[in-house]
Amino acid sequence: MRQSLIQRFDGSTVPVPLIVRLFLGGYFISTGITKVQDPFAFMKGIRLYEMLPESPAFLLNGTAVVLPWLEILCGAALVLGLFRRGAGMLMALMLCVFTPAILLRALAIVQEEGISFFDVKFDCGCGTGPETTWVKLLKNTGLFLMATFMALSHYRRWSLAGLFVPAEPRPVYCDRCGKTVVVAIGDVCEACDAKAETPGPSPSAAT
Amino acid sequence: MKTFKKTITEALILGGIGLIVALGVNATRDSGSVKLTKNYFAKRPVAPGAQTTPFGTDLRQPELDPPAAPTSETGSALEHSYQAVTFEQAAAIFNDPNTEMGVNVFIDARNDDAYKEGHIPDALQAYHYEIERYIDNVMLYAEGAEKVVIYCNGGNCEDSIFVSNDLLEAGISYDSLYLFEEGWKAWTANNMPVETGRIEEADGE
Repeated sequence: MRQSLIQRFDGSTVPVPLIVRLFLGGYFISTGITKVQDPFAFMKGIRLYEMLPESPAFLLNGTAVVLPWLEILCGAALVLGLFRRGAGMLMALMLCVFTPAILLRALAIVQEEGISFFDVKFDCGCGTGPETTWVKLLKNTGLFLMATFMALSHYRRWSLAGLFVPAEPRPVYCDRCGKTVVVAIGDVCEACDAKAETPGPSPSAAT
Repeated sequence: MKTFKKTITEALILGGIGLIVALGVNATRDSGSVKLTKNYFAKRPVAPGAQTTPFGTDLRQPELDPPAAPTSETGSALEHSYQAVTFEQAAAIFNDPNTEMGVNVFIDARNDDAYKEGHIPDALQAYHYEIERYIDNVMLYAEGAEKVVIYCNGGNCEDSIFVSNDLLEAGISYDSLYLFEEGWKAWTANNMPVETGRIEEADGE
């Protein structure tokens, strides 16, 4: 089912994977740059979550130094279209850690201050300034879904990988002709036009 | 499975490059360089004879009214052993003619951007995380000052405590250190004078 959904997006006439790739990449570059500009603010932000011990110091300090650059690098990888799936996986992992941490911090604030969960607003250290928490959690869920999609997608158009690295044949559903075809390069529907429909994955049908 | 392995490899390569770039940039940048092994949040031992309360003490300065215990009203529940001043007390120190003559000094513990955007007039900047950049200049004015009032954003901001620790370590007398816990938020909320821009190098006088 999941495979099928990814295939549908990959074969869509609207270049969904490309849009997601550029948006997600740009978003991570932007938040990463904000954090790199003031690593101490980010360090203080991480410390608030009490997930890392203050001693030995290099755990907290190193995280504050490395994570923003990892975000920028993953963002750049997506924008350029190189190591897309690896970048998507790292982003999904980062979001897997950040998002529950934000939720737990918000619940702690609810308990400390006795306010409604929907009124909780704080700077999560995410590089986006103070934000209403439930909105931030929704955003992060969306980002996580996009990152997971990137980690699974095989869409290679407009990417450096598509230019330099030969693709392996794979079955893809084409939105336009409504067929599943086995393709080895970029645009699914071009392959759909050029090749006859194949019932299932078959490397021999690849070109 | 092959794709999964490839994805993991890509992630590891990106992680490795990220690590190298991050450490390289951190080691070479002029400002904002994090010392990897320094504990920036270390708690300092309480000064000898200091009376510790969760909200600081004000027992040494009879001319000041006792500070109100910061509660939800002031938005502060910071733990430290320094003397605390309320907004009214900070304003009184600011308006004291001695302050203009340099007898009392205000220290802004926020970062460069916040300081440039606005600070208490004549306040010196001392950002704890890069204290070596500021300490010499601050010491010129704070050493021998009667009252050194340190503030940051207010609320749960702890940077003023850390800067107080730095100043104590640098030789400033414990008795002269005052924490203005309500900080910048209270200062601006009460429409007090604000100065913008950076105060450049000390003139040494």
